[in-house]
Amino acid sequence: MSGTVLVAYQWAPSAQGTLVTESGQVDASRASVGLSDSDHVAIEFARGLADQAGARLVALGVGPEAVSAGLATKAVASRGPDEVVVVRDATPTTISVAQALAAQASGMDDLVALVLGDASNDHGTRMVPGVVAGLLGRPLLADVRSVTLGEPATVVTKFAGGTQTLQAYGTLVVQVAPDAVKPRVPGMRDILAAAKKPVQVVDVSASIDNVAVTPISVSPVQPPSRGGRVIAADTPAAAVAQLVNELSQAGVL
Amino acid sequence: MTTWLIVADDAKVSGLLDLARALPSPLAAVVAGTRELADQVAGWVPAVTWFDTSAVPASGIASAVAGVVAADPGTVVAGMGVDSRLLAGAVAAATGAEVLADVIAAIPSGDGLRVTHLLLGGLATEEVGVIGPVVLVADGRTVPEPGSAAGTVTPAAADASVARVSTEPPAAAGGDLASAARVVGVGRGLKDAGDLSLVQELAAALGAELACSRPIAEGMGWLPTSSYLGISGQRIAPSLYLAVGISGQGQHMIGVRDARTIVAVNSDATAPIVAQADWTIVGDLYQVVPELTRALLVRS
Ligand SMILES: Cc1cc2nc3c(=O)[nH]c(=O)nc-3n(C[C@H](O)[C@H](O)[C@H](O)COP(=O)(O)OP(=O)(O)OC[C@H]3O[C@@H](n4cnc5c(N)ncnc54)[C@H](O)[C@@H]3O)c2cc1C
Repeated sequence: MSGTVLVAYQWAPSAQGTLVTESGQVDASRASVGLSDSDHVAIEFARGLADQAGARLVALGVGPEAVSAGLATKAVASRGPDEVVVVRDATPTTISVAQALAAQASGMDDLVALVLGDASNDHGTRMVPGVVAGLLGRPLLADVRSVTLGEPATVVTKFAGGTQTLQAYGTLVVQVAPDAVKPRVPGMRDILAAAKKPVQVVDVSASIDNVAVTPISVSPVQPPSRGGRVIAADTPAAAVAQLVNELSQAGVL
Repeated sequence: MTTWLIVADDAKVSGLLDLARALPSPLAAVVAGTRELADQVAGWVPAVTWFDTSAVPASGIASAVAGVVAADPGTVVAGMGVDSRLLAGAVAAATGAEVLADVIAAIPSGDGLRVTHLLLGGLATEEVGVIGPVVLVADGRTVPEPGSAAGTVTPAAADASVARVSTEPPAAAGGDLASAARVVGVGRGLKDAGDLSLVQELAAALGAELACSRPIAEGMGWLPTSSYLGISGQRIAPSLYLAVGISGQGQHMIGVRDARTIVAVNSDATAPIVAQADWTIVGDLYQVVPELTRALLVRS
């Protein structure tokens, strides 16, 4: 094997099960913790790219303590990576995650590509790929559907409702389109094999930070409430008749 | 100091101008796109640096754009389109700026800014104080009225490290969700991809475009990702949005909150969408949707 493909992921509580109380407390205790859908896609895509290059695939996770738990690293390893590296960062932000990824990536001289998904489970700001590419001084290949390696590599990305074909040289920084590949569902063998894959845990090094962001307050967003009229009728046909009637009267239909 | 506007993708920048104009420093823009787009932006902003992307992709000019901003750093305001985000990311990296996404307001405060942004996909808003360089990513919303700033347009070139070889148009000329007057959205209440015909027939009877919630496009892959609505998908303002088997999570509803009328079909009377809809039929979509399609066809 020659070369390394890195794939970034975040092990984080999903925003979906997260609650925000009236007083602005963020409660993630009931949120499921794991990879986002787009990280699943990114890992699958990166596996294909590593196979194409004959390279090893290293999954690189950044996040709070839970990212280094055996459960987390095994879940990631069962999706195809050969190795897992986790960077513990207690308070990940767009910049700190991007810096941690860039630091790991620039430490690898045989890097073929750094692959990222579209959004993580928690923040979903979709800004990490662009910042990492900038920190590495590489162009970000965004919304990528396929990569054929070579010098130059041929890269197909989504573009203006269709696609565009690009040529890029050197190490690639790839943000995978959410529908580029269908992620695998790990089977028993993958899960057993995952337990044997090497895992390395490092702590985030103090980032160069010339910005101070101070939280002031958090407030829950009340969903805008509308009429909320519920049509109750004995049969679906009767409910539909009533709805169509009311919509016509209101000038909607 | 300069307040920078980064414009790529399109001219939907009213939301960005609102943010930028609330900041004290003079405004300048970097435009990645056509000359026409640069001229349009010069109607609103006094100084425009223009990178022509007719032959090079935005990724190829990102470091040059970052160089322009880094030469005179200040707060950066950018849209949420894919090219805007990659340019904003390169700028943040070059200037050591923090990035805040889904920003809805920013005002000067002391030596810095007080920024309000959506958190957790729109579940909450967070207010933060920022001192130091920051990139604010926000919803551009709409195309402003043509402006009269008569700004200068300075062409700039970049040694693109990525070349565009060809472009391929969309496979099928799908309808335009953004401008559709009526939209039917389908969610996880649908059990099987094979059942999509049910909602397709409803959309046809209503003269509507078909859209969906994120899991239908990203998890299941039943519809293209360009069809999902919400904070990370498309945001639309049709006169009628009909949500079928969609629970109404905040992340989805942000994409449709500007619809004039929202109608829902949901089997759960306690689903969040009920309060956020103007009308709801509580019932099984497998029974309600065919009835509704029939009733609409009879009417027409
Ligand atoms: C950071 C972040 C960003 C996100 N961005 C988006 C986004 O942009 N867009 C988006 O859509 N989502 C987004 N999501 C996901 C979002 O939180 C929800 O998970 C998603 O919108 C739910 O989709 P749904 O309503 O189809 O499914 P569900 O929440 O599972 O709802 C299905 C609904 O169907 C109803 N139902 C079931 N069976 C029937 C039947 N037979 N007849 C009628 N009704 C039935 C159920 O009562 C339920 O209300 C995001 C999440 C995160 C964390």
